[in-house]
Amino acid sequence: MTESRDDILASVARTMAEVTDVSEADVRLDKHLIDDLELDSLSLAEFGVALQERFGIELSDEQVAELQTVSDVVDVVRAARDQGVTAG
Amino acid sequence: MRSVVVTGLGATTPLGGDVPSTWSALLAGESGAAALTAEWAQRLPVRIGAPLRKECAGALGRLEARRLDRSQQIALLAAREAWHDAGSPQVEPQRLAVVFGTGLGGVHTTIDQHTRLENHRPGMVSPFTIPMIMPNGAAAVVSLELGARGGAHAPMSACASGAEAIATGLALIRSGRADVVVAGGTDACLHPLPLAAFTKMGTLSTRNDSPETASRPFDRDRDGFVMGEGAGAVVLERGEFAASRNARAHAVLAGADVTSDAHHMTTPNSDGQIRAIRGALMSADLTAAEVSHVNAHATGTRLGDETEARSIAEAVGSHPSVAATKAQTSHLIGGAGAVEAIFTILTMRESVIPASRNLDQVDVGVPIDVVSGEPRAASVEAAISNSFGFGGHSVVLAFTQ
Repeated sequence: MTESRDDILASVARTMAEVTDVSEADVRLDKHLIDDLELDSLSLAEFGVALQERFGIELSDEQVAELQTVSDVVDVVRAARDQGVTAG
Repeated sequence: MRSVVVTGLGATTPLGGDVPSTWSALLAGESGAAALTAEWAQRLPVRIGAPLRKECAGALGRLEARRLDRSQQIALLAAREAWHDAGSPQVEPQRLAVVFGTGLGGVHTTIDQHTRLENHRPGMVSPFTIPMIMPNGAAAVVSLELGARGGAHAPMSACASGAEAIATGLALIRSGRADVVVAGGTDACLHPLPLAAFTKMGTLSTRNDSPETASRPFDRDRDGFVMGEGAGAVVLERGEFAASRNARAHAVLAGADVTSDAHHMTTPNSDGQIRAIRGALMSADLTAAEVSHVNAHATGTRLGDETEARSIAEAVGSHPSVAATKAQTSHLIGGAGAVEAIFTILTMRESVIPASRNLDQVDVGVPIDVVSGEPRAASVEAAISNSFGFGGHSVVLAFTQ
């Protein structure tokens, strides 16, 4: 069953709030991860690890580093979920 | 020579979450040791240890708890308490330095992340692993917290690291490099690997059935130390600087010395210890006769205590009172020297010598006056604190009123 973008966004927001100092309410689709949410490279990398754990997906370090906006995050999560790729 | 005073004290230990609670538990003769009940401990030959009395997570921010190794978390808490105790001195960032030592560094993180690597894949390792395991991490964390730009140093001398940090702080102020230094030591390694490894060396007490009586420095029936976790920190200030802001001084850090004995990696050696004691007294412009109290390293190993007793008897004499505070705290590894410096300072300030628990009969081959039973009221004008570490490190700090 495919999750809606809204469901994924809510989980992405919760994940980010857990591992960074960004508040859940600030995580909206149009937000830029670095310019708006002020993630630094290590925070982004940790967020990437946390996403993989939460959604049971596998993302490469390159995929995580290329993420620009929250919308990109939702897209990459949804694509990985749809492919049924599971993390170890 | 520039005088250096101690204006702030901070600690979190198996006896308490701060300096006042630790000190009162020390005087009450409480033990920080306990049976390790976690599942991981049950297959170990030694299943006792001394965890923090007050779990540290609640005192930390959410991200601090996530992104700092436990050894760094407790270093930060001890430094915060010391800084607050000193009245948060207004000092130019370039004139504020940090020196924080550790014996083993980010052990929990090293092993946990290795487990993660084995169980998952390289991409699932935390990007904060390196800052969490690097031995300078605690010094860096404290310098970031305080905005200290006068250098962040991390001396490594195993169980003498906390004392060497304070000795380094003294040198920084005396040489004119800093006006204020936050110095301390930390370790948090209650984990199966260090416990198994220390056991394999034959250094740990095996009294699994009686943790509270296991740490018995200088006692006839001692059989090794009990591993604990903890951190201590002090704020050191150039005397004139402290006076100019009307800061209260707990004590004067009058001198220090650091020696290496080049004798053996792990076997203690009186020569290095004696030279460190004499060097510290010379640095403090004190005679042996003027030293009336010694806070001993005294971990509770057979050979270590005997060697130290000989060193004290030879370099200071049989007149000083001796406190063996690891009987209560257990051995805080890199945190020990800093926490025991604090005990030495409080002994002088409060005019009371803590009694070592578990001391039924002193058996070290030479006469030394180890205080046991009840704390002893005594005016102490000058005292030293000994710290020794694997690798042949001897560090002695000398304090005066």
